[in-house]
Amino acid sequence: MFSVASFLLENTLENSLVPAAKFLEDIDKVVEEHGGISTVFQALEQLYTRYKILDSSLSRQKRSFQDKIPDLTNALQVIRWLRSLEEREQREPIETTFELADNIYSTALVKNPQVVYLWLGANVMVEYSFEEAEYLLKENLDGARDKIQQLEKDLAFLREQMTTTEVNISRVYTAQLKKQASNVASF
Amino acid sequence: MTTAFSNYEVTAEDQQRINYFSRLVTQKVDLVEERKKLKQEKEKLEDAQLELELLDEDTEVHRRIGECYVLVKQSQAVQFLNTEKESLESKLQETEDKLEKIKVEMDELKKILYGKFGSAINLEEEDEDS
Repeated sequence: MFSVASFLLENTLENSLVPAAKFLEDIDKVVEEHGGISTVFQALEQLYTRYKILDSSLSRQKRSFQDKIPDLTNALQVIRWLRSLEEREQREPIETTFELADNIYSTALVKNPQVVYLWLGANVMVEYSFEEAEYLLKENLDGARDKIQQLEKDLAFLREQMTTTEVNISRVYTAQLKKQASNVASF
Repeated sequence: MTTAFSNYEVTAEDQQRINYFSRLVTQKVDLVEERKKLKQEKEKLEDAQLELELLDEDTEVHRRIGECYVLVKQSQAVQFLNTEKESLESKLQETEDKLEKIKVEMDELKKILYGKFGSAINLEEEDEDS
């Protein structure tokens, strides 16, 4: 993906997903060695665009994991409550109000629940004991949180590379203006 | 203006400071968002607490668990709200602490970067609602 403009990149594997942008120490030298200002400029812009694409893709992934969290915590809350009933040996039916359809609620009596059914997706629902269900949901929740953390780390690293590239762009631009100014002055 | 700008030499060290600063800004934006959510949540709980206080101890109320509602005694609901509020408040405090730390670091960096680049660099955020 980052095959072009390798002179703009650091040769490290610090982050396997995001290549590190090199801070261009000596702009004049870089411009001279790599085919003039406009070529360097173009390469920088190209690199920046690629970083931006990566940024939106990582952000999207992060959001999709974040969206999963409320569902999982809701389900976990219910299971923990059911387990707490079991512990207190409350055996009489519990009256609950549940959502039948959007904004329509109905009452139900739940008699001594022992198992729950988890919707696994693809039209499959599986019976679980409370313990197993809690374990599964907890694992999914932890997994989602880990993923989000990893994505946040990648994003933070990526943003740093973007900032470095932005500064490089503005410094190349400044170098160009400086050159023009001195050309004018020498006349 | 261009001549004034070109007098500043950006070093790799400056670049690192700028990068770190931008990282802090991102973190700050996320934390401010989180603080807003927690505060809203807390307000809701406080409203519920007020309403509950008006009720008799034996009255049954609907308590939301996940996506359904369950009938519980007022006293149980009060207890539940109290624990919820406690955990929310500790989360809120944690967020505030993190924000405070970031603010200190940002001010430190601002001092250094403004000291070197003056008006050639802009480190202000668009909305200052902290």
